[in-house]
Amino acid sequence: MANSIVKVKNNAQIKEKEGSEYIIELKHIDKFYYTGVATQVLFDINLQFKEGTVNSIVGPSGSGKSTLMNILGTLDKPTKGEVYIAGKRTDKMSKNELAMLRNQTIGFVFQFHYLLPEYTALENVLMPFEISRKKVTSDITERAVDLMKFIGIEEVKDNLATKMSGGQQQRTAIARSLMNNPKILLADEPTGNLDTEATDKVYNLLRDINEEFGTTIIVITHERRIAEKTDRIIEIRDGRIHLDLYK
Amino acid sequence: MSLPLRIALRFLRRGKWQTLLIVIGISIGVSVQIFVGILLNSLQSSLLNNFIGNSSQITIVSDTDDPLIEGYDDIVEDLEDFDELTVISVANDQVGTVLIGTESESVLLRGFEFEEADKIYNIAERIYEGEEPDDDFEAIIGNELNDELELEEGDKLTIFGFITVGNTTIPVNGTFEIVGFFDLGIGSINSLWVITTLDSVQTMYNTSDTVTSIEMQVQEDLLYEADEIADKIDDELDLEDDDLKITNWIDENENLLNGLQSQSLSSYFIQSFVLISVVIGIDSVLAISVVQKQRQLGILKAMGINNRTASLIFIFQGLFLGIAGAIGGISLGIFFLWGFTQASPSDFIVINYDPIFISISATIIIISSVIAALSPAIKSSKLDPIDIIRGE
Repeated sequence: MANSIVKVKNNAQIKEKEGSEYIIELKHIDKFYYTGVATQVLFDINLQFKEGTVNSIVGPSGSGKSTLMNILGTLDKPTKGEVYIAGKRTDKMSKNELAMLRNQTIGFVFQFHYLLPEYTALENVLMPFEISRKKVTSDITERAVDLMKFIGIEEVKDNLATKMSGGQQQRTAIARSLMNNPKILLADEPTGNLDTEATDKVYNLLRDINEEFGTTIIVITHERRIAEKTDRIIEIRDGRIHLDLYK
Repeated sequence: MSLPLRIALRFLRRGKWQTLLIVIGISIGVSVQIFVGILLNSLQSSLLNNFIGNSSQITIVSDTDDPLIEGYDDIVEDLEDFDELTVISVANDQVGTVLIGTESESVLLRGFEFEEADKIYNIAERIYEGEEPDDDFEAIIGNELNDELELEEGDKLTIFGFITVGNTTIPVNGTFEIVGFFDLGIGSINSLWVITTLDSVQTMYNTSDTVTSIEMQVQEDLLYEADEIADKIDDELDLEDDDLKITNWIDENENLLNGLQSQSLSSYFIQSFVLISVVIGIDSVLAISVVQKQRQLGILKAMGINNRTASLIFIFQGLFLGIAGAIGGISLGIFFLWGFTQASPSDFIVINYDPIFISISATIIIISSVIAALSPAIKSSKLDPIDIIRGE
């Protein structure tokens, strides 16, 4: 009797997922790190993100917010729980399936930019497209240049990554993250190394991207001022959701 | 061009000094391998050409106290059926003496059918004055013998010898017209041999229709099978029944052969060590490169390159370094060999720029470079982007 109830409940869950309005869903996520002893960094996290929203995850250092971001971006796997991205369960996918999913669905912006120093800004922007193994046509290059124009870095498109300022590098990383029209943009402390003026520019830019392309944006930040500019603030403390605030 | 190949070339191009250094390192290694390999192969060929190529490789002689072989025409006819043989030459050799002032000097009077003997000893080319003996009682002598005799073309030389009839020894002599002088490059031959026609020796020593040896050469590629060919001839012609025995250069020159084999072995050792050091060099440079490029690899993986592509980046780097190193090394090796021939005082070693050896060396070094790149490629494949992102 108990089993059939569980079964009915699961079917209901499946129905909910099929018709899901969420671009990302996390269900009962636990994460442990094993460094001699098991350390739990996330505790039964349940989160859903609606498509086309701008979200922020805040919390003190060591709260587990970066771990959560890495699980959202499929760079890390949960120890327990289910992750759905664009309706597909990802925690059971192979590394190659995940690589393809990331390439097509998710754009990343990291605190330390991670541009390829051997390539120019434009080549860096084109890289996600090249990884998708499609031919880079003049239309595609034009699209990359348009993206750089939109982001305001067209003038440095032929500069090597090492020959740009921090703000220019970060904006190049943002342009790159948008190259494959991802449904989701994950930004981990994207302004951690930038001054206040550049920080504001980057956040205004993220908002513009959201409005222009309908991209779901999730930003990790430790700055309350920045978080307050987003539609939803999720605060993580000690690996648990401490606050989930919609504006 | 595929993505991993383009990334590999970009990584190499942007780290051009590092790339240049490792290509120079590989090139020097390959050049040593090419230099040592070709030089020792050429040295062996020259040794063989000089000592074995210009001598009898298989010889039939008498197995009794009487050195004369009768009915040699039939044996030569049988030998002509052996395709392995390229030259069959008969010789009637007799010991004689010549007078130099009041002193006598021993000589070896060699009666040849000149045309065939020339194919073995390459005499005609090495007659530095005069011409080959054509008519009976014409002879040529070596330069060292003539240093003592001080003869000129057209002078006469009388040779004294003995023949044994039953228990009696009878002195004989023959006067030869000296028609030329040779230098066969070996002192003992140049001071000992007097070369004349077969008929002259047969007439002087009253040994008509006999020879003292039948000398043969085998096809060049069968040189190291001379012993087997000799055994085959022995079996098929039943030489023992005719009181004859057959010898070959391999059995006669065991020490030379051991020397040549040791030289080959040492050459292979040197080449192997060079190859190992080149492979270790490539492996360690690419292993360092994986560490240097792990940030880039991490972000490429985060952006969606799969493990196969990540490893191919390093395989292609190994391949490119191998190709560049092979081209550089072969060019440098050939340059060193050219320098060696220019600096070498003698032309004893004829350098054979063997294209097969060079191609094999190039192939081995390229394959080895790819193998050397395997471990860095596996490391690159296993690299987890989360470790890079978390590590910052």
